[in-house]
Amino acid sequence: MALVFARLKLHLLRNGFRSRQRLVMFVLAAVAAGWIAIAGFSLLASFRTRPDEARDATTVLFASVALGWTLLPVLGFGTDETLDPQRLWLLPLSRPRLVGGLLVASLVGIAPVATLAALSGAMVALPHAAVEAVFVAVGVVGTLLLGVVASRALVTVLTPLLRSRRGRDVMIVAVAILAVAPQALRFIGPHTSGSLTRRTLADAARTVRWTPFALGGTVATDGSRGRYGVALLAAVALAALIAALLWVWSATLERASTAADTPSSRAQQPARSRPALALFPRYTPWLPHDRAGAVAAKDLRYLARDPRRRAALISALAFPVVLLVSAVGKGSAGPATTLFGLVATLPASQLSINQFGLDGEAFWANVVSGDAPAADLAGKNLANALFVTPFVMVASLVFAAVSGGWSYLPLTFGLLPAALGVVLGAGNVTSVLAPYALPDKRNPTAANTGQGCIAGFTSLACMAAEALVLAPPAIVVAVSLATLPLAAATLVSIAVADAYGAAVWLAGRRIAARNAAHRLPEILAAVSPKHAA
Amino acid sequence: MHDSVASDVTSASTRPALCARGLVKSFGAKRAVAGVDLDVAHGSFFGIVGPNGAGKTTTLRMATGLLRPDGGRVWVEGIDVWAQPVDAKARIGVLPEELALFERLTGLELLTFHGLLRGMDAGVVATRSHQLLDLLGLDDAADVLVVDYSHGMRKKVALAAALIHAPRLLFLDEPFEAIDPVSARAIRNVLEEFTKGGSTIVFSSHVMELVERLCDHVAVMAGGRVVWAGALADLRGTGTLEDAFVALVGEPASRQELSWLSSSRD
Repeated sequence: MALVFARLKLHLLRNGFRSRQRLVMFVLAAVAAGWIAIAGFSLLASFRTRPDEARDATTVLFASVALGWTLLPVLGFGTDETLDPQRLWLLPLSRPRLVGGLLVASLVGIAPVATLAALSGAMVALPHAAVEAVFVAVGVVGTLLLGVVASRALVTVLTPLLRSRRGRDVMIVAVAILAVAPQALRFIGPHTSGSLTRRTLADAARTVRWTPFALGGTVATDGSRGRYGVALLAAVALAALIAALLWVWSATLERASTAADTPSSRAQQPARSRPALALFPRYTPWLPHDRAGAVAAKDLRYLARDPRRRAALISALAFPVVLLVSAVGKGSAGPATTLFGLVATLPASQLSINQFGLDGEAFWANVVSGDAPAADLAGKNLANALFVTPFVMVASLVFAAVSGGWSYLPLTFGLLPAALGVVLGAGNVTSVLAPYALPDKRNPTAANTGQGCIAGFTSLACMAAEALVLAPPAIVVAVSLATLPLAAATLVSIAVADAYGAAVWLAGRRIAARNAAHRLPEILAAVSPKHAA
Repeated sequence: MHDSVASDVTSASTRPALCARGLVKSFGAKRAVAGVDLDVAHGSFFGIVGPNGAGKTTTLRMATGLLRPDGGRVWVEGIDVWAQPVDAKARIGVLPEELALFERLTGLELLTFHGLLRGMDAGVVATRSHQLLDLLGLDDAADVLVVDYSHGMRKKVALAAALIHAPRLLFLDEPFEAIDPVSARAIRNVLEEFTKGGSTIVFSSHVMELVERLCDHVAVMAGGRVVWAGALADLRGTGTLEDAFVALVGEPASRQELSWLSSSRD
């Protein structure tokens, strides 16, 4: 049975190669995994001459690997079809066989092999005798098994939650926060510049040594220094832990497989008093009741309700906060720091790079109701501008308060239209010339078909282009600030930069609308996940 | 192109509601639609039937301006869909098969959005939205996000969105797929009301009984082509539509004896 599952997994992998895009992504993934395997292996192996450090590094690395394996699949970084128990539930398989088969299938793939290779570095670094080598090997294999089993158990336990709409929404936002957290911590944390020193490594190793995720590491390290009793104890604990997780997995499998896709409660939205015209938020009564206004209103609603947009916002808004904290922390905040408030336009940039992609397949509604890309883009730009303006205001005020740069406030506010003009103008052009589909949002564990990679490249290229377009006005502002008194510099900068920003926006929208007018069906196909795959 | 522009002013009503000539579409090496001709008269309830993969959806997407054909032309009331898309699209309403909607809007907001996209007056949009939601039994769900709708409710709200601008020609792709009988009846009533006013419906389906009950004209598609088109009564003859359909499309060639399948029963 286990063999059947392993073959199924290999077939799925191989069939994926029929699509050229997936093949490319597989190769990229394989290269990345190979790099991780070699880097991890050689990192561990490099400690060979320093046994104490080797042990500490092994403990910490093994624990992080097991923890990473446990958490990443839950956060939607892609599990695959062989692992969705719901697909296999109708087969007449006893639960132990099903669990065994699923476990084997989980171990077949690039990631497990790369992990095994990376952890095997400990085999070079630690043991000096055959018995020691056995303990290290047990630690390596045990750590991989622990990670795989723990991740499957956790996903299965969480499946009912992940199937509900609210649960998925929460998960998407949680991923965004987790993705931002390390950077934020890096800036905010006390060891901003200190590299991983010998002391911190030893401290970390001592702290985690007996935590569940580090048990494999403890087996390896204590076994390699001759403390066989301790190592044996850790090995027994590890085996018990894996067995317990297998039991949890097996016990919750049935519930997860037969759980209905729970509809979110209908009653959660009590009949509120409606605004004058549905769709238009109460706080924007002045939005025009036409196509552009409707698109703007819809996008404003989506900014509040769509978890994917919320996720983008969290990561984009974290940036000015991190900047602020690090500026304050260094105590070097000059009055011109106020200008950094403009960084809060970053969400507008993030959201405008691929505006039709955010609409996805639902964009057919715009296509089928007549060709008006200019109005659609105007509406989308309006929503973005409306949305980020208060953030820029608040960020600028905070920066001004912290740095005492109140005199720079007029300049900062005056430059906002310029920044928005450039960012949105450039975003309109990329939205039309390089639209791409975002991964299907319905399935929380959908395998990543490589769209994420394309998205990353496009948005990087777009940010680079934006930086280029932003350079001329930035130079004007810098030169005038350096050569003129502040009041005069403010006037000159605002006049020049805003004129420039307006020109860029108009040009961007015109280029975009002219191109889109002839390519609406092609844009629709590009942003529909199914057709793009 | 110009000949049709000039003549549609005088003869819009005498031209067919929908006319397609030589529509062709390939996806990679696979030819999904291989030269489709269609003529749909005004006021008719026109069914496109065919097995899965016959090219029904692809044809409808090309006729509604959502998918660019590799070759051929389509006219809606004499207006070339791909040469004058704005004029043509103003006359049509579409219920797509896949129901990709802006689902983070409430039902009422979604209808408002569709109405305003069509350039309608806000007051008219508000009135019609409420009427359509009432008619389709969605008034209780007007303030619920569409993402929380059931499948049947999604079909109904999508139909309302397709109807809000009172199109002359309505395209429905598998409108009754996976629909409960109550919702199906609500949809059918609305459609029958719609055709009474002289408007035209083109819909695709592989549920023969429904086609038999609703349609007056049918086109049978197979392998990316129209293999038969005309009045339903002519196609059916004396038998059922299903028999006529299977006779046209053909049954699987080889039929092995599956004795083990029947021997397990007693």
